[in-house]
Amino acid sequence: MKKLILVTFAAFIAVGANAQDIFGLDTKAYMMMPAESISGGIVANHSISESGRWIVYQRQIAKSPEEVRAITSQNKGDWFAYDRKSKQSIKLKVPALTASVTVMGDDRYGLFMVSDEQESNIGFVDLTSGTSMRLQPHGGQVIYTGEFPFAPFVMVQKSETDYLLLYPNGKQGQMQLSKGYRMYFPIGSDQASTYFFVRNREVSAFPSQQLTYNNQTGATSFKNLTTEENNKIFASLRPQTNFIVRPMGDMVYISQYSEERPAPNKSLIPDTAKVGPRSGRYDVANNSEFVIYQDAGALLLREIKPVDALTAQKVLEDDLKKELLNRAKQMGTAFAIYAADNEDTLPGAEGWEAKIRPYIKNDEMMKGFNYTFRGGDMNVDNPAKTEMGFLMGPGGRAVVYMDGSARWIPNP
Amino acid sequence: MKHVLVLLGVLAGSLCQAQDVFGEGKKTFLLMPAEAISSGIVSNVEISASGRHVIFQKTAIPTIEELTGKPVKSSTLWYIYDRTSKTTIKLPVPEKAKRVSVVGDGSTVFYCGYEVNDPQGFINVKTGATTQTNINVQELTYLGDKPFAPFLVTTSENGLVNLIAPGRQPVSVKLPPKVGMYSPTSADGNNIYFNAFVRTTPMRFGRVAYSLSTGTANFSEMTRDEFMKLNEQEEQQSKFWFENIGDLAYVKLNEEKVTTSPQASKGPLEVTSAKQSSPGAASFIPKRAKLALATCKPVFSDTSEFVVYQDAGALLIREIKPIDPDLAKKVVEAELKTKAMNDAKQAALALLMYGADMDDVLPGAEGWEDKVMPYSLDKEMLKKFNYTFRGGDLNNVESPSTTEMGFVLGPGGRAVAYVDGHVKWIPNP
Repeated sequence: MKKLILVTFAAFIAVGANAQDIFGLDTKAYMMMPAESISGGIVANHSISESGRWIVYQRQIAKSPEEVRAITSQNKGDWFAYDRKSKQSIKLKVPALTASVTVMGDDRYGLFMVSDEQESNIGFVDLTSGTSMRLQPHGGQVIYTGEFPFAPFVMVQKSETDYLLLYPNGKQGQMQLSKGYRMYFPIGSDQASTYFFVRNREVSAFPSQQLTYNNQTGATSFKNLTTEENNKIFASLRPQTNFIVRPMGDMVYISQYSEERPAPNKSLIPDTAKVGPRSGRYDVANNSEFVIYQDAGALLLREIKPVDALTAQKVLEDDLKKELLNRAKQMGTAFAIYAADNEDTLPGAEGWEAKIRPYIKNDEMMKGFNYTFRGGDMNVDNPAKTEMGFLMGPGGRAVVYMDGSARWIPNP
Repeated sequence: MKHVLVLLGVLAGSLCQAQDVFGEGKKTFLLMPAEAISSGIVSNVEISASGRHVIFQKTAIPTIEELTGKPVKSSTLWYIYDRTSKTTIKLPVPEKAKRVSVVGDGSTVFYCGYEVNDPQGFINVKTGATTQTNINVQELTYLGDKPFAPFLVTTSENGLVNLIAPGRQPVSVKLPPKVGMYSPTSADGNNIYFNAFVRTTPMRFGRVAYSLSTGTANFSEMTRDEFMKLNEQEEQQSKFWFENIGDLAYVKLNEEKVTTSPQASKGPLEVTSAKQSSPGAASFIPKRAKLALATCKPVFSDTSEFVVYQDAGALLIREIKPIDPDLAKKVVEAELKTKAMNDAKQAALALLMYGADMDDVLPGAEGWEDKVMPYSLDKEMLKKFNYTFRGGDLNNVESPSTTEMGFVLGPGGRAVAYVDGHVKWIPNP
């Protein structure tokens, strides 16, 4: 009996697709790839650039329990930029007390804002080299931080009517609006001009207006927006990602975003997949290419790739088959150990569950197992071909034989 | 609704998470924040006896085609992570080698297969230089990973033992007749001690002392009990172990180790000190700390210093540091308090948002949770909130900043939310 037990304890090893990482709808499925580690330590304030290339984060390292305890929300450590192209983080040489770093639309520079008492509280940092430059005092308030690709400049409001456009290459632009106009944000650009969303509060909040700013001359002109245009602009401001990431209990889950409630999946494809434990912040890139999340302070990234729904279905089926085969095998082992304790005799069909229960880990394992051996002496003539029992699966059965082997038998 | 704006800021808690504190009685520990060792799909993770190195195999992240098609060939590439320098180096180990082990202090690595003809050799970790060896791998009894015994050991049937250190000529030692040797267990200035046995029926036990000065091996016999006791003292095994509950893996003290360790069974001292510590302190500190997903395959260092685990393939390491029980208690209390404050604030925010949509009228006590649910989406959190405001128009409240809306119970007090949206900690009288 001993050898049978040894044979059956070897589990199936799968290095291929991880079925638990597949999610989506019957028509469109996605797979979360294995994790890439971005950083260890205690990460705070992580954000993804509009392009999805950069992840900017602040990190602190603690070596002792006292240091861990001393870390508070006031002091969050050094700033880093992780480049998804080179898969490397570089340290950003920004001033101490930098409170935020935003990746600019040019995908090369970051805007840092400092919360110290000096007159100039902003500057640019080159994300590829980490070098930074604090800007001259501008005496105004930053109203746009430059994150849109079509408008890679920082906008500062100096007075009710005067605005300053600051580019990372040192270029500056001036803009003047009439009294009563309120500047919101840039909405587009072409070679000659940049367009902004504005409202004239003195006349009426609606309709909103589009301001055209000539990049060269600084000249401005206005155009009224229709309600449709207005709504379209606001719709474009929402995150455009295909996914929803949200916590439930101890776990963070990802699912596909859909305007309407999707029809329940008929196939094996689950609606949601586990991203990771819920131990910090998590975020999904606006371009839907990846999700980042924290595990015990460390920052990890998982790419999300679209998978053909049929392929996804097949991966899930294979996985289920493997699991069923494994379970069938374990049941075979349990019966074999029972027989070893009972002079090589297996239980009859009646009440076998109660007899086998002491030999299995939990009742879950027995669920759905069809015990087909009629009971009696285990030493049958052809143990490798004599069925002991089976579990039903997708399109077939996981059959375990008297010698402890298990095979997948497709339905005829 | 001005109330709502006040509330949008969530209270920021200390980053030291109470969920990372665990222990029993006076033995309390903190699971430190994670460090990342490697990305990709990691397998065969092993920690060296000294706890300084982690050896593993890694497959680069496969493409989606590979992942969904035929199974990816498991990797043959080996890496070594140095905990002191926090760096990972790729090891030039040939494909056929199946075993890789750190030798001594970690400046050298030994690789071999299971067959005599498989490639084998030493690798200098700093230079990557490889020296081929010619060892009978089937006679290998020890792979050299204990710092006090930085050499491989082969033992042959005829009682001849070879000690093979990298860069040196092998040393042969003749054992007394019928004596066999296990791995080394300890060392002092003059000798390295090995567990040993005598091939008789029944088997007899003892230890071999290998003298560094004379190069001779002396066997001294012990009773079975002496042998087992000594073994238990010298055998290094992690104090920690894990337990899977639901979807998560938790770290806890290895109970077997705790109860059978010689320190624990020394006498009544241990028991009385546990009794004397205030029952409050003990009850606050959880026995387990959350580690990661149940699929994380944790490996604990024999030195009880850290745990290595996987998250979606990536390899992470968390140090486990002893923490003063009083500090641990403070950490847990502070966290529970912050959590209660946050929950109270969130519940109050949901109620006020409901109010904003309902002409500033808050719901009555009956069924308030269901009414407010769309504004919070977290039923668990709402359940913890004791809603004491009797409902009605918010504008009729004379003093919103002193009128209680409800509270959440916390350690030694209540987190009270007021009608104006602010939250205050009120200690129990």
